[in-house]
Amino acid sequence: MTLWRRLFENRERDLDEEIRSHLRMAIQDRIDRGESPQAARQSALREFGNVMLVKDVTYEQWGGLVKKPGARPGDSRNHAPSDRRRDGPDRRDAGGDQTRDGKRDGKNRGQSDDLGGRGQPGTGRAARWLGIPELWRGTGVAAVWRAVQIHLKARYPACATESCAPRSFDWRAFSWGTFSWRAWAGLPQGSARESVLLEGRSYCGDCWPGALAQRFADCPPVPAPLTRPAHRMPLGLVLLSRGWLTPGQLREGLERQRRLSGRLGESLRALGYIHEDEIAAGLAAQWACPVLLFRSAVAESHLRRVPLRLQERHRMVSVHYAEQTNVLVLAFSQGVDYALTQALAGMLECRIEPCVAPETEVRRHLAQLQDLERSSEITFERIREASERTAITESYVRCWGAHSVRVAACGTSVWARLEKAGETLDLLFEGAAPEASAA
Amino acid sequence: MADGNRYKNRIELLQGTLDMLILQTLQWGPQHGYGVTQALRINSGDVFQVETGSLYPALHRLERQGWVRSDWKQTERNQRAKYYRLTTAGKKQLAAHRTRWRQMVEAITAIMQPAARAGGS
Repeated sequence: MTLWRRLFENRERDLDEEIRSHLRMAIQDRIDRGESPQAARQSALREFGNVMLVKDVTYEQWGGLVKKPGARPGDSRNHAPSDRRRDGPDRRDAGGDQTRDGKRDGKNRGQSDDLGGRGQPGTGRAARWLGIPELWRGTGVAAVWRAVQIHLKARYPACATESCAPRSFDWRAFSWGTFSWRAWAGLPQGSARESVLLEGRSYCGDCWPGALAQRFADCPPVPAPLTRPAHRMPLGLVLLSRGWLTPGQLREGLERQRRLSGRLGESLRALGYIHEDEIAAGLAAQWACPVLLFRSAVAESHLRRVPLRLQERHRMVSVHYAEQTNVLVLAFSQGVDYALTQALAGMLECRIEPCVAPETEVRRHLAQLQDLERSSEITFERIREASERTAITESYVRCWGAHSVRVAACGTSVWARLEKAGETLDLLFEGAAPEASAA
Repeated sequence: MADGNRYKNRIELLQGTLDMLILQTLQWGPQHGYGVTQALRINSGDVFQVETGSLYPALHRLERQGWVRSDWKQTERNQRAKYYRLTTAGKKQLAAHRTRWRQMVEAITAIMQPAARAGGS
């Protein structure tokens, strides 16, 4: 039974690796075509579809590590030795590759050679050679064992931490003192009772706090003031080129901006030279994105997509989410923050379409959001250390019973989204990174 | 816009033809799963987009039937990938598929364009 299970798992690992290599190539192709790594990854994953579903339908084709249909008993046995000889060079290649990757130790490789015949995961030739699947087929035991496998996988999900990965069980080194039923069953070593999905990867109960700390350390808040990049045309020139301002009015507006140190659009509006919609149109031309003039009301569910505090801080509002295309439209009032849109795209696992809207409209919608009940948003002020953010999030994960956590740095804030059974809880940590504030 | 039209023009594969198309693609040499999807897409002029949910089960089914064999190799970019290649049994199967396909095309053409056939004869 152990051999059969191990062979099945070898094939599972083989399929995992095959899918990973498919995605790697798809991502690389897109990057070569000029897409950003993030966009390339997202579009490759989208095109690939549901990985679990692909794996499941592929498992069905195996039929429990079956032999070739119609093969006479003894055929595969007769072919096995020649297969092994033929695969000699491959075995050497595979061994070298695995050593280079550092993923498998010598002991594992040796075992795989015994079972798979090539040092590769999941060839399953030994199983075919021994005719084991024939023993299982048609007895119903294979179906029961498959059900047990699914149950164990659900109860003890694999842990993304390499050191926690299932260890191969070696009968040659067996002793009751060191016997581990988890190793025997090929399950993760850590406690799986409180496993958590962190950024979509499953971690066992022992490993997720460490992984969470690492994630927070990798996501420091970045105090990046929104300024016009040098390569964008100044707003004054955009407005001038469209004939909405005269040079004299622009000079006057710039003079007022220098005196009061505000924004040019505000100065021009205060002087009564330009309408707010024209400023929005000018900003949209400057940032190469569409203008939104709010002809219809924004649904509450769309407004709630992003925590209020983040929307306020970045002077933007989440105006529409299209479920079919998985696109979220964000309306900015003072220019687009592309670093933020990228962080939000990763956090919400959707595509972000930025646009520019008149400031009054953005404020009006933010006020509307303020009036709504927002018990699922908690803001923590002046949390400067990653360790503090980790400790707070960890305690919320335990107390609230979250099964999934995502973390993203959004400007000077760090946003952690906890999920459980369709509910979400947003933790927002305010406070610039110590090193950034010192600089 | 051109891309949009291309996606709109994509059509579903005829049921039962995926195995034949994979075998046909592999007759030019070993190929990995991603390469097979790209080859099918390019050779069909962007008309066919094979879903991975159909491709991988089909590749594994063909392997189980002994029509293809797989080996892990390095790609041109020095990445590991599982390459599938046609076996002798697979080549025979491909020939059988081709014959059946030709018969089917002739039969369907006869039904769909009876006038053309009569004129031709």
